[in-house]
Amino acid sequence: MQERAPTQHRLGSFRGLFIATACCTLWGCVSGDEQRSRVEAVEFIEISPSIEGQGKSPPIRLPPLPQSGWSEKALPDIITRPGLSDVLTNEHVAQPWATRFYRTRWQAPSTTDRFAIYIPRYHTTVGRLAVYVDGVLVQSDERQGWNSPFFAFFPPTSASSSGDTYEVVVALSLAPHGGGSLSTLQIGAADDLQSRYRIRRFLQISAPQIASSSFLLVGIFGVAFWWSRRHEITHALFAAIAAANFIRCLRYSFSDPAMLDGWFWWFVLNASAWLIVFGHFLAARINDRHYPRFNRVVIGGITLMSAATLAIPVLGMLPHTVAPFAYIGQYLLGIAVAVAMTHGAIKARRREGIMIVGAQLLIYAAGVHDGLIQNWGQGVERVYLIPYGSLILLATFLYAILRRYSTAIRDVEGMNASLETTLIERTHQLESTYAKLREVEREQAVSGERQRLMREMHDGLGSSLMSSLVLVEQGQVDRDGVAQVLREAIDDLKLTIDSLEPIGDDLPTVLGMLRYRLGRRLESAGIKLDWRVDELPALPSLNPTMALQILRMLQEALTNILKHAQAKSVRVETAAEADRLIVRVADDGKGFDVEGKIEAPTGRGISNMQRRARSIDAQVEIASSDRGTTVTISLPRTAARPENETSS
Amino acid sequence: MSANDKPLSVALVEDDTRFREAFSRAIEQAPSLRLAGTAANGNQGLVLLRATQPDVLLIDLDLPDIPGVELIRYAAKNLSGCDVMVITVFGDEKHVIESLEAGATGYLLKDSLPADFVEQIHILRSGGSPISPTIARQLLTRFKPPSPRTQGAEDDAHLSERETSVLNLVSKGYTHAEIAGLLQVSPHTVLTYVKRIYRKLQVSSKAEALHEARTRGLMKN
Repeated sequence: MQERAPTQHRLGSFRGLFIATACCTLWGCVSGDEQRSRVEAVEFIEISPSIEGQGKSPPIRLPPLPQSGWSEKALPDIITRPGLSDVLTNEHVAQPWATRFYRTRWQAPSTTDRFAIYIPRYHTTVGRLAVYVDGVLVQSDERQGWNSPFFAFFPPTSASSSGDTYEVVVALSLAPHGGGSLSTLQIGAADDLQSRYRIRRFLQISAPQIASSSFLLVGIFGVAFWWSRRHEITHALFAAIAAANFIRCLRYSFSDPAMLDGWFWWFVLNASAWLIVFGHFLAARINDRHYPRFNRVVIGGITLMSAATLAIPVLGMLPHTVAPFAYIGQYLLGIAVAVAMTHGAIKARRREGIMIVGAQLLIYAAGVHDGLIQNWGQGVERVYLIPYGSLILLATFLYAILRRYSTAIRDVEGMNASLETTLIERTHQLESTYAKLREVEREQAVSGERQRLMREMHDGLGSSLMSSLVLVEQGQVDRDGVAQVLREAIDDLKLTIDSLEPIGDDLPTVLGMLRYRLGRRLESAGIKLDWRVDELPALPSLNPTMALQILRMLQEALTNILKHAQAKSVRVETAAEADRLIVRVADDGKGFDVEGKIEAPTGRGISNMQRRARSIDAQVEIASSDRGTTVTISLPRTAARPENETSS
Repeated sequence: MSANDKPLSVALVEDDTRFREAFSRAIEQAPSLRLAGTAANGNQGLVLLRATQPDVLLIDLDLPDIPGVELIRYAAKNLSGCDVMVITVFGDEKHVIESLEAGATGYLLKDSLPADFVEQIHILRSGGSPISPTIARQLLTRFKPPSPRTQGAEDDAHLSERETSVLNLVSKGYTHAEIAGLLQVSPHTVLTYVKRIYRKLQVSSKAEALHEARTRGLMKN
């Protein structure tokens, strides 16, 4: 693969890959400059052991190099020195440090006097890169970078320079069983190369860093959301993915040696695998697909892998000796998960699911691309794409959140609208139900009232009129007698009508009506009325039916006095007891045998009174002696609404 | 004016012929009363009122052409010396209150004994005819109890303490004579209270009508 045609690796060839990153315009504005040389073929020699030794700083002056042994080398140079098979077969054990020297002579153009060298990409596992111009160290890479482009100014005038021609030597030191690579070199006007270098740095390091940091912020949002709604596992998975992605992307930007201890590499190596697994869980959840057995295998595998790679921090093994196995595991895992996710997305046919899976598949493709660069040296000068996966994930997640949010709002709005509609419907239903109920109640009330009035007319007015008709037909009565019967009938009717007047719960008014209607008849019969009606507590249960029954009972008592008692005076009095109100009618007439009347009634008077009393839960007592008769009616105060006693 | 000076002139508006004749006969037989004339409907009644300007108008509410209440209002407004007495079968609350508000100061039950009837006209003349207990109860509910500030003061919108006591006793069935005894005033004073109550009812009904008209925007302030 070292024999690859150089034209394949022109910078322009990966321009198309960056359309999605929106950086192509920046790139385009600096291409096509003529003031630089692109060095694609150099003289090359490898010296072992390395010039500086075990990772020490390179010497200020280039040590004398052998005159012979140099060969032509096309750039980029892909160094596969240890090789995976060597690691597996333990053939690397005795391998020493080595340094590769790449030498070229460069003719400076006359138009510019400030020069620089720019190397888009080089890679040495733990070694260093140093650049010598005319045998003097210009700059060495102190940061052990593997993803960082290299840039250095030339000294303005070199003492040993021969005219305008410079000898440029690039020294790349290689660790035992550590590989490396070197892209083409670019030597030319400093300003032009510096801007190229800066753009490259931005694309390769800063942009991915911004993307993964932004994504991490979204992840924090996810954690916060999940914290308040624990059942929303999706948000926790968002957060986990963001965290894993951030860790994974650290390797593209972090190159401070102090940070690069075993744990850093352990995290960085495994983050990719965690990312794959979290992504799989997320896709399964969004697509509502469940793979319990597959999940067990995946979790088992990743646990094993994470445990095995603990060899780096715990046993102090060098990362690049372990990494290849981790990568193989990740690729296998990735393939299995990709198949499962794709299957799930196709089955579920959900927009979010397809987007999440699509985004991950894109990142897998980027992973293959980057793997080709990193492990197989394909297209060394290309930019790693995996870091840009952050952007894709960020966009997808933002889309999913936005969609979820707007859907939720729409749902709530729809729900409110439908709730309102339902409420209106229910209100209408309730109203119509109540209307029906009221109608039924009204009909029942009317029907009850009709029955009551019918009974009153039948028992009272009807029977009075009927008996007077009989008397008149038989010619047994004179004019006064008929008038008397008719007056009684009219009195009946008046009491019935009075009972329908609204008088509230005031018993004295009922008694007042009785006197208003019947008092004159007592007076005209020469009976003195001793009226002792006092203020009484309210009687909440007093309604027209009850009022009429009370009036009828008292009417019966007064009629009996008029007809039979031969009394001179009648006392009507009231009293309030704890649980009842008392109305008492006492005359000073001749009295009668109460027991006898009840056992062998001559009329229906007493039994009628008792029937009426029972119908309103009242009691009627009749006591009689030769000094007079007393009728006592007891009305319960607490029958209907005992709490309302004190109202007027 | 005393009942002995000269007979009271009584006009009768009643569409029922037999009642009209019975009442006419009772009035003619009473030495203290003089029949000014009778009418069988409202329009005849108006003509009769204008022509005779009677001391007492007996009127049935249920007339064939115009409502009896209209005639009562006419009499109350235009005939200052005329007392209006409504003839009613039962003295039921709705009719009585309506006619009292229109300006009547008493009502007569159709089945009153002839002797009662003449006496009640004189009672009406000297004050107001007895209020039934039910109507007294209604009036007590209708008028707000006097507030401490206005207590004792002459106030057209509220009943005085004495007036309230009278209504209270009436609602319990006590007669005017008994009330006079209980309140330790003369029977004539009780009649004055009753008459005042009638007048306040009329005033309060007018005030209510005014208030209602204002709130409905029928009248400007």
